[in-house]
Amino acid sequence: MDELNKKLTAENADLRKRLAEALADSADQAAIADSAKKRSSILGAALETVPVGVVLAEAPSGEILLGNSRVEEMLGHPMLKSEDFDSYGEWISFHADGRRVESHEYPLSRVIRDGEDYAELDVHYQRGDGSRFWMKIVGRPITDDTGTMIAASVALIDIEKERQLQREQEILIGELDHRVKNAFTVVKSIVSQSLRKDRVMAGLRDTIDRRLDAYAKAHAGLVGKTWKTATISGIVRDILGQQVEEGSVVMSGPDVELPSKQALALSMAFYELSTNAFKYGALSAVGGIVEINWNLSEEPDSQLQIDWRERGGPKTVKPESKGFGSFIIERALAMETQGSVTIDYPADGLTWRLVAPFAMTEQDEND
Amino acid sequence: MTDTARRVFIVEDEIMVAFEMVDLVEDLGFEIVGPSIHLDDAKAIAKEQEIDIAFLDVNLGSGKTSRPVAKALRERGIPFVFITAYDRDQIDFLEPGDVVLKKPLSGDTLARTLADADLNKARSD
Repeated sequence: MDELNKKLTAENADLRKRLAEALADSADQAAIADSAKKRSSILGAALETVPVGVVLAEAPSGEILLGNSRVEEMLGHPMLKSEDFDSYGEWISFHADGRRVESHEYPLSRVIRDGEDYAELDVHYQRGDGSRFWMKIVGRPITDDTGTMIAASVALIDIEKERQLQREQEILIGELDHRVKNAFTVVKSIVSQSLRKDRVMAGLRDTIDRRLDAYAKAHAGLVGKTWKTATISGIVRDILGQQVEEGSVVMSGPDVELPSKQALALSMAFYELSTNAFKYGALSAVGGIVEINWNLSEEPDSQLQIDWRERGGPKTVKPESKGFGSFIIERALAMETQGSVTIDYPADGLTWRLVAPFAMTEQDEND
Repeated sequence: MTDTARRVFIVEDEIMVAFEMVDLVEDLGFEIVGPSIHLDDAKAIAKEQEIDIAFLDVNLGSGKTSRPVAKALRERGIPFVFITAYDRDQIDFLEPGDVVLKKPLSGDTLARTLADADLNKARSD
């Protein structure tokens, strides 16, 4: 502490000397002092006009120097003039998981102590009256002409409304998910009841029921991600998770996020392929294996190729007729992805390949 | 009814729904153009192919609508019908006289719409 004092005193003396020299060069010292004073009061006034809280701390100590009045309004307690960055713990706030935010986690500390050029943190702040609100803290260093950090400032932004909207959106998405699942359940019952009453074969009833299940499941897989995208490995796991665990389905490929409609179409196709594999293909025999590999070619004109290869199952038999399943794995998927599907039936196992243009960026075509 | 099969263009981004419509319309004795499940494809067909009437799903996913398809058909004087799960007033590009059918569409509604289109065609012929 003594040493720091000594250093600061020396620095102060040096600054004063330089200021005196500068002033000596000036024809009108009073005018300069006056304009500096003016500038500082203008800055102070400017700080009061911004709609966010602003707090300034000195570097390298971390001592909090000042804050605008918005800080006290937001926090509901007077400014805390923490004397260094180890004392920031006196500001009481929490992470989303309820853990108390520690001194060194605050953006001011991360900028001053750790030298970060930009630090951001969302905290659940506890006001003077004990109530809490969500606040975003954004910190930046302030440097002098030589690039040395002399201070740091943080902006405190009330994001309670944003968080509230986010929570409401999550509730709505949950509700939507619930209703979609409900609707699927009702549709399934209607179909199943109608078929039962009309004495349609149990096998067909079962097939339709499972297909609707698969579609509902694929939909549910998209909900957590606000319906936008799903990964290929996620789709495989949704349908063949158990087989992946057991090792009878082996997959490899980069992380590829598919847009929701393509994800649904691929999900349906994988479901039909796997049903077929369980009935007649590799998954109907002990030791049979399905390999699923995919890759993306280089941009531009990036192409996605997905291969489904079966081996170790009974001798492959080419189906004689094309039903709903083959519509799903060929035409429907090819149309949806604007790609092409090829299926071959070599004796040692079915092979299926999709090649499709891959573009995640959707152009606005509403011209 | 006219002697030749009338050509019906179907634009619908849900592939299952698209092919269900194809089956229904074919069962009624019409010829199918498309179906188109993507906007770019639908626009190309609307500009070039021989079409007597079109069914256009309004919302084509990813914020796209069938508005450009309708524009192309309008320019060629080809009648079309919008199909949507939304209400009429939720579509911001309707013009007076545009026909809008609500989803889900029954086979009966489809048949009636096509029959009406036939009558109109017969009158204007």
